[in-house]
Amino acid sequence: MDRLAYTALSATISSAKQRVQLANNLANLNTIGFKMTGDIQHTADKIDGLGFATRYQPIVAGQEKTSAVDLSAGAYMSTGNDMDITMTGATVLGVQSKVDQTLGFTRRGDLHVSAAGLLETGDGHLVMGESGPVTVPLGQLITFGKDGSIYAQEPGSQAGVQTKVGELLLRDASQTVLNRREDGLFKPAGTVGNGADFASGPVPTGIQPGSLEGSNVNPIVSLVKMMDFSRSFEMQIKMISEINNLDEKGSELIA
Amino acid sequence: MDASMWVAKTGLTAQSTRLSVISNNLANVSTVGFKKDRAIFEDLIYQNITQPGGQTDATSEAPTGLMLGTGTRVVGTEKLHMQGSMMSTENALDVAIAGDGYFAIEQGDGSTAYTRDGSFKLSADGQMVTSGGQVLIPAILIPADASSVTIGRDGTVTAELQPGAGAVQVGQLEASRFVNNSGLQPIGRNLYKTTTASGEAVVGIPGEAGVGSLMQGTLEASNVNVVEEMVNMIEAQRAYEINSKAISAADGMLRFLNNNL
Repeated sequence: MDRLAYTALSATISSAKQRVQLANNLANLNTIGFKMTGDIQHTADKIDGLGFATRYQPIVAGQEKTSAVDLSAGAYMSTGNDMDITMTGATVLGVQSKVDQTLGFTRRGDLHVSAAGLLETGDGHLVMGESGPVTVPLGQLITFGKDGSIYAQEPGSQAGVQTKVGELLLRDASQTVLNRREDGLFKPAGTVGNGADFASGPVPTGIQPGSLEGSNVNPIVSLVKMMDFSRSFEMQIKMISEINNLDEKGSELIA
Repeated sequence: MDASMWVAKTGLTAQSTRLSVISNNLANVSTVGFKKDRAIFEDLIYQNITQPGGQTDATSEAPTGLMLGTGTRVVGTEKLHMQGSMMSTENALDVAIAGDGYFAIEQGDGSTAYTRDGSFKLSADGQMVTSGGQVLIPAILIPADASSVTIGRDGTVTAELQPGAGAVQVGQLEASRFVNNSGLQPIGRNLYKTTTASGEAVVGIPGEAGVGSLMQGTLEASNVNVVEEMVNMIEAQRAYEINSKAISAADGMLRFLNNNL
């Protein structure tokens, strides 16, 4: 059979990964603090052999460096719940992964206090302060300041009498490229293994209490891309079936 | 088959779970003391297709990697124990808690459950019971000849036995607080049970040590915000449609493949 068929096939194989990624973005339309992943980059790989240099096949090179984690803002949803926070700008929150207990970063801001007094995100990772996981006094009212300070108030005490009990580990990632880990948390790009911290960028970090950040997946863009993939897939299949026709015609003429 | 179909399927499943949470909230918009739920979404684990920093040959490394996501799921629902609005009923035995706290009641099997529903009634033997007929802890007995019952902000229950003879204290209402209200397990009938996540109940006098004070003649309405739930419903419905669109796109591609090869 003609080698051309394999060139067309390689295109369908590499686009399958892109569609999985797109479907993952769409599936997480409602995940709090979800950051979409940008397009997958391909490189054209020349297949050596006899004949003209016409066989270039797309090889998956990786995610585009700047868009492995697209930190653009998601929808801002006001909830009125003191334990919900939104991170401003490119601020990310340091958490200790529930999977491998290493430091990772997230944009999820739906926090709650566990029975042991530890601060957790909605998906169960422990929230970190500058010196390890944050513990808060049990049974007290917990509020957050815009700079990431954590305040506790004795129930029944006069309003406004608050004690600072810690500070959230916030980092500005405006100058740092983030990559994704297996557990969905972020880590600075270029680090080997999990658990690396990074230096905060020039923009001051900050949070907005009483609100949540929704997913930043744009359904319109994603749907258009999906159409694009469908049609280009069909073109590749059409190509393969055309080659099939050519081969058939060839056999008929010779036989 | 096509992996993107299964990823989109996780989206469909999660959205339909979310829709049932929203429907339950909307169905309980008039339930006294009801606290709304929120479905918590989480992205599933990522598959490492190309390791960032992996060796592409002896001297060079891949500058970027490729992590493919596998979809989403609902990790759980969280009860949001925010205060509902107060409805004045003028009924002496309707009590709302303004602030934190739960009434403890004794269940049929002797175990303790907690509720915010303060629409109390009197049983045949004069005990204060919930609308489900369960006895309050501590039990409060209103004498049969009481002409009027007054419940103070601090939970003292007084009754006037002889007209003009002054009020006599007949009981004391208490309220329980929890470290983590969201950790309480709803068991239906407006009741909650303690779990290891909620911590043990801390019993207190209303109006003291963080326990909210009581309001007689008032009920706490459901804290469901209809507009918010409607917006959530539209969002869930559209997200469901988009995910089914992703499945039908993958389906169309496979159909094209089958028809043309």
